Amino acid sequence: MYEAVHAHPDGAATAARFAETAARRGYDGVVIRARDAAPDYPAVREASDIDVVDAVEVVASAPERASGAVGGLRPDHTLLCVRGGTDRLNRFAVEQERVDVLTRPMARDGDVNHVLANRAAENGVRIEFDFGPVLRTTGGERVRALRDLRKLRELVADADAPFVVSANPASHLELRAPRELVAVGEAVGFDPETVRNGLREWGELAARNRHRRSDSFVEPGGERGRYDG
Amino acid sequence: MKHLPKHLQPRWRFLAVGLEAWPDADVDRSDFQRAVWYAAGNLLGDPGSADADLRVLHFSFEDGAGEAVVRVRCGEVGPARAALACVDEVAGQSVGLHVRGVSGTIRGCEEKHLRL
Repeated sequence: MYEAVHAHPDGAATAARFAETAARRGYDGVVIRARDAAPDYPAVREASDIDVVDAVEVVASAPERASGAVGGLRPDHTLLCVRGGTDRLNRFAVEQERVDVLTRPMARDGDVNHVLANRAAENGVRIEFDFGPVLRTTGGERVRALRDLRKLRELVADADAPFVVSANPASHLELRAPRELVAVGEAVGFDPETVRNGLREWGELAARNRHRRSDSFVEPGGERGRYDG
Repeated sequence: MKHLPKHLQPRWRFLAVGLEAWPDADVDRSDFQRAVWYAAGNLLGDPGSADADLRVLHFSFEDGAGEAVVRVRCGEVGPARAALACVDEVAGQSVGLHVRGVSGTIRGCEEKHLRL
């Protein structure tokens, strides 16, 4: 299982520290969803026992600005996430096959409906269930986050859209073990297996994209290799 | 307090909890107990919180790291784990926290999971 984290300078802890803590918590890997962070990936991988995935999170105020960033950053990173949060940005992200994950779709005044969920399923864009507000807020803010999570869960299940789960940790102290996230998910109405699948999905996405970026890959179903006819 | 016959005594599980914080943080047992109660009350509500009956038994913390034994009613380990995961601040200081293991006795819990 993988967790997608905000490393320094986007968050408060370095990528190496995240990798070390995640290894102790029982994760198989961490996804560094970088905005400004540019860790030395080979060195971090060397120093930790787990996988470290080179990802980027596009945070833009409008689709016009996000579009250029998506095109520009896609070739250089294993995973590409777009942060939602407005209806237009959510719409933009689920329409793009180049986008791997739509993060925080319900944050701020963002919303998702059945049309967007279906488009995400068609384009293979993973929708993120953000457990951050459940873990780190209280009162009305948390109630709204839980209400949004429930709505999103029902839409994703209905459209059979792909999804990921993350606690969105910005420091190693905010990282929670997979079992803890499963327990929290159960307490707020998620099926335990759904949460586990959501955490595994990061790893599967990374493996798929690495394979696609490898030299032997031509197109889905077409591989370059030894001819053995 | 009246003693109960053995078959009516509540059965407990003991969670070994590892704590982490920034090096300058200073946290004591009562702060942690309060944070645990608030987290349980907020996540599980009053009935769930009363069922879990979380109590911090052992607590040690120094130099930004610590450990604790938290007692929970048998059968409520899942909700207790969820409530503990929602503890992100103790006395205004961020803490990272994780359940190292669960035992049926305090001694088992200490011997197996704690480095006291």
